Amino acid sequence: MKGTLRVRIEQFAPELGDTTANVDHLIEASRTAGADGVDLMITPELSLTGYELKDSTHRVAMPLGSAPTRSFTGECGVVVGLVELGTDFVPYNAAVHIHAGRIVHSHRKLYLPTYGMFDEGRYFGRGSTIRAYDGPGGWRYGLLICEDLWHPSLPYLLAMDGAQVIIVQAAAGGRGGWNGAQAGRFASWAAWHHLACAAAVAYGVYVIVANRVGVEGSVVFCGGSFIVAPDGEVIAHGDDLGDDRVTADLSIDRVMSARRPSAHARDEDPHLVLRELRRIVRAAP
Amino acid sequence: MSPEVRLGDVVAAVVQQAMRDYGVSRIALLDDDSPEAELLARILHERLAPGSVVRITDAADLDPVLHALGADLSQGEVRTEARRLRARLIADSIAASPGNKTALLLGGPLPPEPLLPFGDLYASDVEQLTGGWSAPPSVRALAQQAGGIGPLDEALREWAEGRNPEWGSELSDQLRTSIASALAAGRASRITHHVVPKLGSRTLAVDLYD
Repeated sequence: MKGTLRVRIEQFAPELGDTTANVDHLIEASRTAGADGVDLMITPELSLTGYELKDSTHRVAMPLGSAPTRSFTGECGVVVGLVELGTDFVPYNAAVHIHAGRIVHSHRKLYLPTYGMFDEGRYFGRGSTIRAYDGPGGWRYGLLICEDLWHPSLPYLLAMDGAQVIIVQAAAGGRGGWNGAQAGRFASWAAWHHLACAAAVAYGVYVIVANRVGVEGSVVFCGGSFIVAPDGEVIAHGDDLGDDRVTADLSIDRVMSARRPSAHARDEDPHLVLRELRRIVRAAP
Repeated sequence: MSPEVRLGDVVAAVVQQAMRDYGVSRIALLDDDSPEAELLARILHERLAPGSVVRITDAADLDPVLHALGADLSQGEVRTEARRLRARLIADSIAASPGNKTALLLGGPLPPEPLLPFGDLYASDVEQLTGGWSAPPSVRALAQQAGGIGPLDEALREWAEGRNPEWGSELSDQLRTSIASALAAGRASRITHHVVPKLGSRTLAVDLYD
């Protein structure tokens, strides 16, 4: 197992609906990352397509077999975001981990926000599974997409499935940029930090949140990507609003040492959770 | 980064994107000599390329034209419509109205300009930034009855951002009724398309259609 994993968040503004331009950008970024000794480059949600696709969703959708894996054949792996066209011809908002030109794992977004400024349920199908997986360097990973992190059952499931690193792609709009902002940050980031830090500390895992920047319509995506260590320390942080590269070295020793003083992860009892959830679900009207 | 700088960055970024989306290189800013217009001009001048902002100021010379058309409007309305007309005549541009969120929510139908850069910034926020704020006389009257723009905006925030059915509990029933009527008067126009930089949790033309 590789004891240290160098990761980088490529925080950028994808061109809306222009997959070619976005792939070109990420090819260049992954080359640079590889030259910098990065093992895994993580990109934001829908990094190959942009976010507000609306009826363009079907136009940019691609079967996983057509994903641009051959564009990323170097030693630096990459997690991209794309619209996956399922065999049922339903488009899914997907995160895809590519390494050495092949797909290591993919995840379909489970919780599609369809309220307020979001309309994902109108355009995407909803995923139905979540799995941690063994990836490059011998680490065990889990993928989430944006709203997924706001459902604590999902990082819980990844942790129970053995994840040591939880990767979260995001296209989070900046809210509270004026009123309610603290120390010049978007107020909406406070909740993201709480959620990511809570998952990291509770389960002794790294949590990587890769958010995008740029503007689509009336919404400014607020960047501020960050990496949380298993003890809850934010070890790397990107700029708000602007392109940035957020790099950190993850250490398996830090995962181990975070789990050593306490026994939360060890004592977690999924059987108890399963039993009680069965009872709750059965009792539900 | 100060909240003021952040605000300017967000507003300017959305305005620039709107220029790209509309395929134009200029903003025709309806300059009604308000604190909002002055603030918006400053933000855009600091962040956009030189010559990008065309301020449509006093349009008194167009008064006779509108009167000749038989428009039954007050002098203030005539000036506004004249500026609006002039803004439409600026080539290679989109028009921006500088109204604040309070004025837009309570002042009747939204203005026709596609760009409302301060549409998510309450009048009390503008006051905090500039020391002043502007709104139609009917909205000023509501603020006066509420005991100032602060209490009025607090009630609006509860209604819009908090989605609280009990909004404005500090206000009299009569005033709440007046505010509700003012909100209802602009309701139909809130389903039309505008570009409003998102600053809060419910934004006109983005996710505030009530």
